[in-house]
Amino acid sequence: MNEEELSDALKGGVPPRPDTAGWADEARRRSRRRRAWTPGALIAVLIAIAAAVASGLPDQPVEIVATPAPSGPAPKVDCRLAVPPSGDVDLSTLTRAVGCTDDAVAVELDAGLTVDVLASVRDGAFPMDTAAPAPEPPDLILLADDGSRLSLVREDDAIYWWDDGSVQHVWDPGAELDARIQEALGLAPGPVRPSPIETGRLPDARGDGLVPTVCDEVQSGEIPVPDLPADEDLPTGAARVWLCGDMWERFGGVGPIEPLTTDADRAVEALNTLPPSEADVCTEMLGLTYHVVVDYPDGSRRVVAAETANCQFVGGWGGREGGAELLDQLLGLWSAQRGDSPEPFTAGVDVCGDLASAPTGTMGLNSIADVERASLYRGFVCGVPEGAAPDADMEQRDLPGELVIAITQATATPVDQWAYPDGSPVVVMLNQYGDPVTYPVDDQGRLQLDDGVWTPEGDLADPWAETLDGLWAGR
Amino acid sequence: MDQRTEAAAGGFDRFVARRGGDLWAAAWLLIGDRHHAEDLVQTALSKTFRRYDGFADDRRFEAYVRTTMYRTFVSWWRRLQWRSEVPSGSPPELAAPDGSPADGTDLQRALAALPRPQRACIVLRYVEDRPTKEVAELLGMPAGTVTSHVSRGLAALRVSPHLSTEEQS
Repeated sequence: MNEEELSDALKGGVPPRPDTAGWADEARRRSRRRRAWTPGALIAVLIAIAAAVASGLPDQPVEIVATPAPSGPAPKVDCRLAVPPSGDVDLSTLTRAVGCTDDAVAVELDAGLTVDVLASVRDGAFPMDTAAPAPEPPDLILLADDGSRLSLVREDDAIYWWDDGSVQHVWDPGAELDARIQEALGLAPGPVRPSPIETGRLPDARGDGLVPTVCDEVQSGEIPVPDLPADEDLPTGAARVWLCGDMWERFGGVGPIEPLTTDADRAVEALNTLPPSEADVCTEMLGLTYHVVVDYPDGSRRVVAAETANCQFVGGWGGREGGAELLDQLLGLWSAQRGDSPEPFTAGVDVCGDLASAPTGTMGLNSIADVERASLYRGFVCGVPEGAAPDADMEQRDLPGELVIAITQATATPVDQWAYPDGSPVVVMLNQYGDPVTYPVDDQGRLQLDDGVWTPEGDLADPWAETLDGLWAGR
Repeated sequence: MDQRTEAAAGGFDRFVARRGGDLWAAAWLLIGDRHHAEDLVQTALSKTFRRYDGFADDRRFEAYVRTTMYRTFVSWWRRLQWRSEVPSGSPPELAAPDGSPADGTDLQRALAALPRPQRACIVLRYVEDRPTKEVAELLGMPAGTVTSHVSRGLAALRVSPHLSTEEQS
């Protein structure tokens, strides 16, 4: 099947279009829910809250087993039992939220937190295309006045889910809201105060690969990333700043391997002086593209997410704007630091390990900054040994010096198509500071450079063939 | 509702009536499920409809909606991956018996087996006929990544057991 036939087959294979009657109204309804929650539901909950306050509801979390519920009799909640699927619950009818402590004690969340949790669930929960896992004891229970309820299970990565009997629904509260829930249940500190880090971890933050350990931990969710509201400044007095790229997609995934230690407060000031966001509707509110990690001498740490696209949020929704401008400023600070006190990166490094641990869909290791090909000074080939499965561990080989030099000077030949069978090797090259750029090798042994390909010839042909020898799992 | 807002609301309704089906078709190719495709379109429309009045014509607004739809799709994919979840292993819905060739169904099955970024790139390139550069801008990927996704996606389709079966038959 050639590409034209593929195109025709795809276009012709779509089922009949559905009736779109009512879609426009549904879009409006969802939009209202996205923006500010439905006024009716908000009023209902405010009434419930007012009634609760009038009846003497304490502002602190309440153990349901011991204290009357705010708007009626205490619901029977057992945190120890796995619950059956919820069935189809109308999210707009939910009015209360009860969390479960580690000791399986049910604790009602306070009114303000309940409002935020319910709004977030209505706004952000979505069904998955998978069946739910086996039932588990709940971590959070959302209740309606008519007795219906959702029992949510919290995973280690702070994602909650519930089973409606047919599919699994997923809700990501975000780091800040999750931290508030955890704090209310006595399970973790609140989100705003800087979390102390172990002194012993500071020297190890760089790690063995090209991605600093601290960035791995941010990207994996191990280190939470709370929002930074526009009216809150990061404290000055920073000891060092890390710039972590986004390993998922969008643009270069690897930040500088070394932290900013020269005038680190300039990075903090650059962030603090960004204007508050006035964005209304964004096409991609969750499009985080990089993180700024600020370490303070007392061991505390602040992490701020920023994006360079769409609303260019810095610090999340309700934070500042200007993520692209901030990135330019930060890269300028690193550039100045390298100019003043260059620290060439010559250490051994597990490049292929970083490459293998990158999520599916990530195409190589590429620096968050522009890396000139002419500035590259060493390189590695990463490939799966012949005969191994395409997803087997990759072998790392040094690229001979003559090939490194040749690649920096090569002129690529434009081609229409490349083909990269699974398991094809890639060349990862570094500049003197360890900023990486990846060039794939296609099924003909050609290196993809920029918008074309280049094949080592003459005296370079044999070293090239030897370097790739036995790394052609895809063939 | 003032006259301008009312006119915009009417225009948005007409836009959805005229173009909603094609938006759904693109969503279905991405997801392979009728209901989730509708959910994806609805999500994109809900994110964009307040901007309808600001576009000079429906063609440009549709480009905006489609961009939002693909980015939402990629966003969902990211969130699933974050949880180490994989898309459903169940096959996509079969194409309706509307005269479409049987290989259309097989192709959908093969397409559904691709990783989501590859699927998005293939659909944008070969269903929406967008050039690589435009796909890259739309999905926020380097052009080389799009090229690689397309190349790997095509390679996977060529060796897909669903399509191999078709060829054998």
